[in-house]
Amino acid sequence: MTATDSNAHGRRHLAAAIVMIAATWLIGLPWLAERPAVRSYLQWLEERKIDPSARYYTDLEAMDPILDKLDRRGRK
Amino acid sequence: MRTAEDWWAIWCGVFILMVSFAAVWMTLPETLQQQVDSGEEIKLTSPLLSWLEKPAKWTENPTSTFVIPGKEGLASKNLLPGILVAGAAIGLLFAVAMQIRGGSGVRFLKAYPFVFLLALLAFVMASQSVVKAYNLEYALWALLVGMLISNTIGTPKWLKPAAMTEFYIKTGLVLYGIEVLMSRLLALSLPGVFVAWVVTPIVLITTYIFGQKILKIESRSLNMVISADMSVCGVSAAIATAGACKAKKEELSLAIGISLSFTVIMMVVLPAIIKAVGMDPILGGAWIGGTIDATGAVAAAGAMLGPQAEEVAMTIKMIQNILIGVTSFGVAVYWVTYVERDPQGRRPGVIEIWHRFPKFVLGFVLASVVFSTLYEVLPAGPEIVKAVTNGSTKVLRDWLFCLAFVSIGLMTNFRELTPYLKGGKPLLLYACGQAFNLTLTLLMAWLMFRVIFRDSIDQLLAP
Repeated sequence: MTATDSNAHGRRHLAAAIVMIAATWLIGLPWLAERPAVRSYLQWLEERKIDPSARYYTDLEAMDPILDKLDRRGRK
Repeated sequence: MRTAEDWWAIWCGVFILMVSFAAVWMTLPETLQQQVDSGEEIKLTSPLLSWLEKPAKWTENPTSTFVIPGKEGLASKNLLPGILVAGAAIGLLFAVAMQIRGGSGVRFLKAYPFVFLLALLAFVMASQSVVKAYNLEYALWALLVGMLISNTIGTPKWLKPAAMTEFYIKTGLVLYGIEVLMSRLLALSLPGVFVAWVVTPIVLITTYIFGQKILKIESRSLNMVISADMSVCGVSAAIATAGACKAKKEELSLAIGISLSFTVIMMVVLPAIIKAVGMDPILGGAWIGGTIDATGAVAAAGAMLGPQAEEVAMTIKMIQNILIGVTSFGVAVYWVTYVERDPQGRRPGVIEIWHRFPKFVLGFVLASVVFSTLYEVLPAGPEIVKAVTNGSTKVLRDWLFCLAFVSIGLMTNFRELTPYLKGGKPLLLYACGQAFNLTLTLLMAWLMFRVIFRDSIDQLLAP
């Protein structure tokens, strides 16, 4: 395979991947978010201010009331 | 010291921390001391808060990731200026650092906007509601976005000066240090310490030895990164340990991929098992907090068992989160004194240890010690530290880590990952280590939370 062939091949693969990603994020995931089971799970997380993708305890809004309780207890 | 990357990660991190702290300090209300004395609720915010942003959660329309809709009388907020300022601030700081270190700041600045755009794309992908709900965090998408380019058209040469994986990670870790507050350690008194700080190191060391002696994993650093991310707190621990043991970028990617895959399964399966067997929610919460890798996934899984379990699970995880400082320091010491020692077994001298030691770990630990002290000694210390963290450092460390993972992707070929998967050893290591973790954590949680300290824990968790 020549360098030109290889470049064209690479560009085709990249274009295909971009189309797949766009379809997943613009069509697939929004559709999934509307399914009743997923929608109620998302709502349940929202109400509890839980972000399952949080990396550290400081990223979690739901941690705030717990930390406030701990800080109040620490000051007593 | 003038050119070393580790030192420059410290200088950049310290610079950001000083600016962030000064911004909060200079805008403290004059009546702060009176508010503290009267026990009034104190709310502090950083003036940098609205200038540094990252994409917000979206569900149907990706453009809504750049806007926080108005609610409860508040106007909607456009995040795009804050995103661009965050990107520009990191770009300029790193360009100056590159120039002083003897590299080319101009070449960095030419490539950086593209790497930043890829990081932005990764953040937008990670911010979709369904993706967020299953803990598929930005590290994964940043790797994917970078690898898509490197494995199709190849990473262009001109883009490489901004793909500075280690510099981004090390600077991000120095910023991370201020979130490692030692006072949080005793949040659940002794039972919390036993589950999070006794079981975790035992599991980490045992898994590492198992990987070396039984599975005979060739790469010690891969073995260590998987052991740490499985036993401590997932991706954060993997990043910190990978820096401390100088793991290869492919090893970090692999460890994170395994950890995220198992976390998605565990956050669904573990609460279901706990409910099915009718386990006490406090015990269930402690078990979840000590075993599921990712912090957000722990919160979601704990909440499925009720508010008490959620509180225990999240607090145990928080105590475990703090362990990443000690873990990375311990791993760095072990690496330079034992793993990298002379093949003839000669003990390295103090100077040699100092030369080999990953210095950025010192910046990470120092930031933790300084801000843990400020948290305790300043009037309204907790509020000041929270304003510094929420107002600027948290967003910047996320951008730095995202840029690091895009850079890893840009420099990784799929074929480089295959030797690591040979024989499925990394997967086996994770599975065996996690099985041991589940058993030991359950035993310790039961002993501490339901037998020895039952009454004091019930009292502590009373609303």
